[in-house]
Order: sequence, then C-alpha cells, then structure tokens
Amino acid sequence: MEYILHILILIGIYTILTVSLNLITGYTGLLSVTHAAFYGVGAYVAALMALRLQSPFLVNVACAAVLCGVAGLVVGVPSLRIRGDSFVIATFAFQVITFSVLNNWSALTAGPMGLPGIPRPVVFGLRISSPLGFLVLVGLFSTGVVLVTRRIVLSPFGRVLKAVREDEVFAQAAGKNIASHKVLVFVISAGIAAVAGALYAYYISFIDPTSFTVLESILIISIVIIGGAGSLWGPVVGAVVLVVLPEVLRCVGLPSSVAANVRQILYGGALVAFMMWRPRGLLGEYSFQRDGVQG
Amino acid sequence: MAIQVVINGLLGASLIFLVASGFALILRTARFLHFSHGAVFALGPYITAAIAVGTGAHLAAAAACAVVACALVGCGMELGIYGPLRRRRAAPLVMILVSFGLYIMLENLIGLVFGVNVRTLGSSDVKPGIDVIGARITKVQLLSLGAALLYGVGLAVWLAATRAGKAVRAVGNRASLAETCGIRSGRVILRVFALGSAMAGLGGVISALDVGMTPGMGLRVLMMALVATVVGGASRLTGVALGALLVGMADHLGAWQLGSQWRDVFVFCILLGVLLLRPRQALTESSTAVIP
Repeated sequence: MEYILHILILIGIYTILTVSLNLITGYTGLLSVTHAAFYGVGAYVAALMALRLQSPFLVNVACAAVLCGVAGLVVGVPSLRIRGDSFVIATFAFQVITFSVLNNWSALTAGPMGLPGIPRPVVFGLRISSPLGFLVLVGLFSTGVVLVTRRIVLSPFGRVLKAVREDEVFAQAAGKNIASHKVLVFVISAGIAAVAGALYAYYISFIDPTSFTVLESILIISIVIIGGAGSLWGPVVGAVVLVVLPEVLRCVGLPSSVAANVRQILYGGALVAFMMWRPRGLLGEYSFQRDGVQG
Repeated sequence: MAIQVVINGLLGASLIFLVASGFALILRTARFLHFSHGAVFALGPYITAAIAVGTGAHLAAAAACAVVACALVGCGMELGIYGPLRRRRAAPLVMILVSFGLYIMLENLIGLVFGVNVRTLGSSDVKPGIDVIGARITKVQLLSLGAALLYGVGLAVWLAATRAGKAVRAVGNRASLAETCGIRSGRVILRVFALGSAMAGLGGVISALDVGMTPGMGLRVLMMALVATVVGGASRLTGVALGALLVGMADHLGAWQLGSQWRDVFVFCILLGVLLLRPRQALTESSTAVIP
C-alpha cells in the first residue's frame, strides 16, 4: 500500500514537471533541456531554507518558485537571440552549468554529499509525515498546477504561445510581443518546476545533485513528448504511463540491479518509437512539423 | 607545470577532435545533431573488451574489430532511424529527440550488459610517462595525439582530393545540387556515418586505455565535441580542429587555474558566450536543406 502511495506521489511530482515543461516545449515549441536544472534549483532553495533558516514550508516553496522564476528569466532572455538548434544547445549548456554549480559549490549546497534531514512540512499547523498526507499535499499542488496551466493555455497569452510555435514571424507581423511571451513562459514554467522540486525535497527528505542531471531533463522531455506535447492532459497521461511502466516491470520480476538501466532503455526506446511513428504522442496535437518560418 | 597543462590540453584536444570531426561531418551532411555519437564512443572500448576477453585475441586486433563494429552501429542508426526520418522531412527537433533517445538506450544497454562500474582496458600497470620538455606523456596519450594528427591530415586530404571526399563536401554544401550532379547523398551520408562512428569508437578505445571505461563516458566527450563544433564551426575541418584545440585547452587550463571542479562550467560558459555573441542561423539549416 505504501508502495502504491509512493508511486502516486511520484506521478504527482512528475505531473507538475511535465505540465510546466509542456508550456515551453509543447505550447511555445521551444525544446528546453534545462528543466531538471529548474527542478533542482527549486529543490535546493527549499531544502536550504528549511535547513538553515527553519522557515515554514509554504514560504520555502514560494521563495523557491520566485528564485527559479529568475533562473527562468536567465534562460529565457537568450532565447530571443539564439534560435533553433543553437537554442537547444544553449539550454543544454545552462543545464550542465547548473548541475556543476550544485555539485561543486560545496559551501552552499554540500556538493555531492547532498542535503539530508530535510524536516517534514508543516502546513497551517498540520505536520505532514505520513505517505497519505504527502499524497494529499502533492495531489493538491499538482491539481492546482494543472488548473493554473489550463487557465494560461486557454487565455490570449496561451494563444500567442501557440502562434509562436506555429509561425513566429507571422505572429510578430500580427503585432504580438513575442519577446515578452517567450521570456514570460520560461519564468512561469521554471517557477512551477521549482514547486515540484520543493515537494520532492520535502518528500524524500534528502536531495543530492544526481537527481537533477541532463539525463533527468531528457527524461522529463520524453514524458512530455510521449504523453503528447501541446495538449492539456498529455503530460499528465505521460507521467502516469512512464512512472508506472517500469514499476510494473519490477513487479513482474526484473532484478533491481538492472531495473534502473531497463527503465532508461524503456524511456529512450519509447522516445525513439514515438518520434518515428507518432511524434504528437498519445494525446498531443503538436507533432513538431512546422510549416511556417523557423523561430 | 604550465607545460604539462598545455600538453594535457593538446591530448584532450586530440580525443575531442576524433569525436568532433565525425560529429561535424554528420552535422553538415545529414543536418542534425547526432547526439548518440557519444554512445558509439563508449561502445568502442566495451566491444574491444568483450572480444578480447571472449576470444583471447590480442588487444589491437580486438580494437580493430570493435572499430569496425562501431562503424556498423553508426550505419545501422542511419539506415534504420535517421535516414527514414530525414526522408520524411522530420523536423530538426524530432531528430534531436530521437538522437537523445538513442543515446539513452545505448548507454543503458552497455550498462545492462557490462555493468556500470569502471573497467580498465589492457594492462593496468602504472608506469611513468616519457619525459618531454619537462612534462610527462604516457604512451597511450602519444597514441591519442598521433591518431588525431594522422586522421586529421588524412581526412583533410580525403575531403580535398578524392572523389568521395569531394562528394561529402558537396552534400554538406548543397545536397539538392549535389544530387543533380549524380551524387547519391544517401550513400555519402552513410559513408560519413561509418567513418565518423569508427573514429569515435577508436577514440573511446584510446580513452579507455588511458583512464578506463564506464557506460557514461561518452556524454562528456560528446559535450566537448559539441562545444568544439559550435565554437570552431562545422563547415570546415580546420574550424573543427581549432575548436577541438580550443576546448581541450580551455578544459585543462580552466582546471588548472580554477580548479578541476569548475571545468564544465568554464567550457560551457565559453559555449554560451560564443552562442550569444555570434548567433547564427540554426546549425542544421541551410537555404536549401532538401535531402532526398
């Protein structure tokens, strides 16, 4: 039972990550390999505040989101100047740099040793320490994130994002300020990813940089793609499918020594398969084919 | 000390060049970022080890077979996955994502079959290197330097003087135009994949002889090769060579001056600087990027 709760909590956290990445990649059409970095910065900010300042849970989450929003700004602004594949490489660079800083700035982050002993969150006087309590907490946050994202996507802001994805020059010609949209979507998305990071930090009560590598970024991208980029529920479905599938294999009897490798092979293989035969993913509407001018 | 760092930088650059030259050629002709090139780098030494241990063959023979195997793997990726996608006019993002997926699959396949711990290739006696103007170079590092130089010169001559090489340049420049002159771009790209993958595998073998092998050894080299290609420019071999030299030097000089924990940050900041200061049209695009 606790195992099932654990899976559900992971699904919830990954839903927040994939829904936020979907804003950048699915709706705006910008492939970003930086998401694990945002996830990690959020986790570390929340953890450090909890450990060093003993500040309350919600304050930590808010600060993580704000600081990550600034990080999103740092990544989003260059997107105006660097286009196409070069931008993917730039986000790659940001990811590697962030990981390296988390891993090596030992004075602040304790480097590879990680931060243990993150306390249990206390929300409105309630101390959340059971898996069920965590599930409720994560469930509330992920539902909130999905609802907020839905509002964003269905708003004029969201429509401009889609316009940028489909034909950026045309959108500009129609008078839309695509620069502000591109930067804002990064800020918002990074802030949301930080929430996932904070939740993760509190749940596992220990974080280290190895959870926030390039490969993790690619994993999150895979889930978004497979679930369906550019759709509201695609990322959620993707998170469910791709978190549950490797666990199913483990239950079927795969030895745990190879479980990690098999899990990744599954993700990589699914990504390749979907790109070959159904780039729009399970539920998506965007298949990365562009008729307009590349942005 | 400085001389040692410079020599180390040169050696790093030679390994990066072996990988980056293939990466750049694939980028020019097939027009996408072949991320899984890094996995081929890791595949080389592992196949070598498997052959050497399995059949008791001499290390050099096993390495030769492994290099051929790597070429075959590269061709397989092109024939099975990249080629069909390209002919379907798949978007560049699709190609990048596929190459990510392939990289993950291959790295974990290696981990699955061979285990994720560091393994050594060849004898593990620790011998002092040869003394060269105050610095020390090991035999393996000399091998690396020699291989890169030989290959660089050979590749330059091949590209400039031979028919096949010129075909590569033609496809890299304007594939559709090359097609009208009777150059089969599909064949050319296949050849480029074979050659590039072979050299990446060789690079992996050399690296494994030097510092051992893990399934993830290709990731960092690929990142360095990527920086070298972007910084030096993919369109000319001299650009790639200079890029590799720059990155190799920056990597080691950065490690020396800033501490080895900041190597990656230093190199990638250089990359970001280049991208920001010299934004260029998407790496993979050209004005007539139609490839049959």
